[in-house]
Amino acid sequence: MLKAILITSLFDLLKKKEESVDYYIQRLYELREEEIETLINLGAIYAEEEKYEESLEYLEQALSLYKSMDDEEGQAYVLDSIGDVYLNMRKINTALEYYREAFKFYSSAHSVSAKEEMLEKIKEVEKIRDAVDIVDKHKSKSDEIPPKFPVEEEYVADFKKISEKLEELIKIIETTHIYDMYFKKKDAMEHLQEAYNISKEIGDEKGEAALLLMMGNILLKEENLRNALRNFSDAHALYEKMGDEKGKAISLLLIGTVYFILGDMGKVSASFRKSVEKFQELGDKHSETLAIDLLNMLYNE
Amino acid sequence: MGRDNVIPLIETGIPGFENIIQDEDTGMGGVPENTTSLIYGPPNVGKSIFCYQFMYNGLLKNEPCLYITADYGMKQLEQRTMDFDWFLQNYTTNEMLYVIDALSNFSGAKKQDTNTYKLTAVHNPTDLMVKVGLGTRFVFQKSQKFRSVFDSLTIPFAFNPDKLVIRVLKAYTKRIKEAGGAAIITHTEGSVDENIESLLKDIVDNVFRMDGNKISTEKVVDYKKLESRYKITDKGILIGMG
Repeated sequence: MLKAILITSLFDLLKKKEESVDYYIQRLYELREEEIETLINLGAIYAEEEKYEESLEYLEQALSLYKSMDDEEGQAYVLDSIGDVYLNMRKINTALEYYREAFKFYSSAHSVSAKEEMLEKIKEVEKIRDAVDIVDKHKSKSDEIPPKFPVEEEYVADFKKISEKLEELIKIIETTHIYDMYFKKKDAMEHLQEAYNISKEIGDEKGEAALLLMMGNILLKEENLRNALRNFSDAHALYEKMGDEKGKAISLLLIGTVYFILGDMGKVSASFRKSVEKFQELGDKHSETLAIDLLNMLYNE
Repeated sequence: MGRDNVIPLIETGIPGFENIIQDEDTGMGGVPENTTSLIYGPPNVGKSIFCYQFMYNGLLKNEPCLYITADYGMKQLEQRTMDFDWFLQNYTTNEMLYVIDALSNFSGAKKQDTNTYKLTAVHNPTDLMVKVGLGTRFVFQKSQKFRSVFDSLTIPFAFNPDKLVIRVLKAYTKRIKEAGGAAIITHTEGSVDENIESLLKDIVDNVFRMDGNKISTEKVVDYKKLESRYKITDKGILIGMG
């Protein structure tokens, strides 16, 4: 009787073992995924804190794991993130190398939309690089190749100059013409605020969005970046609601400018890219040129 | 209705109108003070002439006027009033007439803002209302008894969403009434759908309809509804003469 029970238990154990192989393989895969996710998150947090060396270290580890798993899409994603870190460090050419590598992996993995997005990102970053090159060439009076991005130097924004450039961009929006005279008044902000309150009262969303951009630009000039960003973002949301593509593109440029001053280069790239894409879709060459002028100015301050 | 509760009337200056809305005790007529009135009807029935007459009569009585032109520019306003021998130049010079011109900018006419002449754009209602605020304060400082004209809503309706124009009108009537003024607003019948037209009538205190032959009161505070024939002469509108 006892012998019979022992034989039954052994078979049960063997049966469980056979079943558990799949389970543990799956479990192992999940753990790796979890580890990679953790590494990427650490990389992102360090990048946010501008601790780029640490960020790159964790992202490289994530990349090795994806390589060992032969996951092309995963590798592409991490390469793209590493590119963003280099862009934040203003090492634009290195960033481009990583983006191009990411593009290859997305292509190989047949991730169509990710591949297209990557391509657009590369084009946009190349435009930024080219814009910087043009201005550098003008500036260079010797045969030495000037450093493209002063990584070690702290960026000091000329708020007045930036604000003047943004004013030019804001004026592209037709609705803002009429408010132009408010700028000439002594208490421009007060007048704009009064008009803004009226636009809210009567539900004039076009006016409201235009006034938010104009007030945001004054706040930027006063170096009140957080409130400027809030105004630009609120205007963008209104243009989105109204389906006004030009308004969206302009507000994205202004948002991108604030991120640039704040040093959040990942967001700069995303905002400028979307903005220039919209101008291209609209066939608006004039606005596109103004956008490139703005980039020139920012990257060569 | 007790005499004490009746809103006093202000003279429109339109011969015969004073018989349409009349205080039985005093025999005086006009439109109720500190109220807003809508004048509507088909095109070319004299709605704008009614406005010129209402404005000019106020100016003659030293009551300043805040005039919003949305269907024609300042130049046309001066020319059209001159056809009836109503000359505005003096009143512009002594700042009794404050004009908000919502059309000249739009038509490309080269005009400049002055103390009492402000350009705006018909498709920019926020700016229009900013200027209404400035204009109301200006005329109120001149005299606590003032008139205002908004002629007309047709072009604003053509360039803005209907509901936005309704909200503009609400804000306009509120500001005029708060400052103690009396306003006339004109609208071309049939230029918007019936629901919007009905909303327009709800916003104002008094509603008059002109059809080219007769003028009738559809709604009026404190007074009886009446109608009368009218005609347009080289002296302006004459009511009850036909």
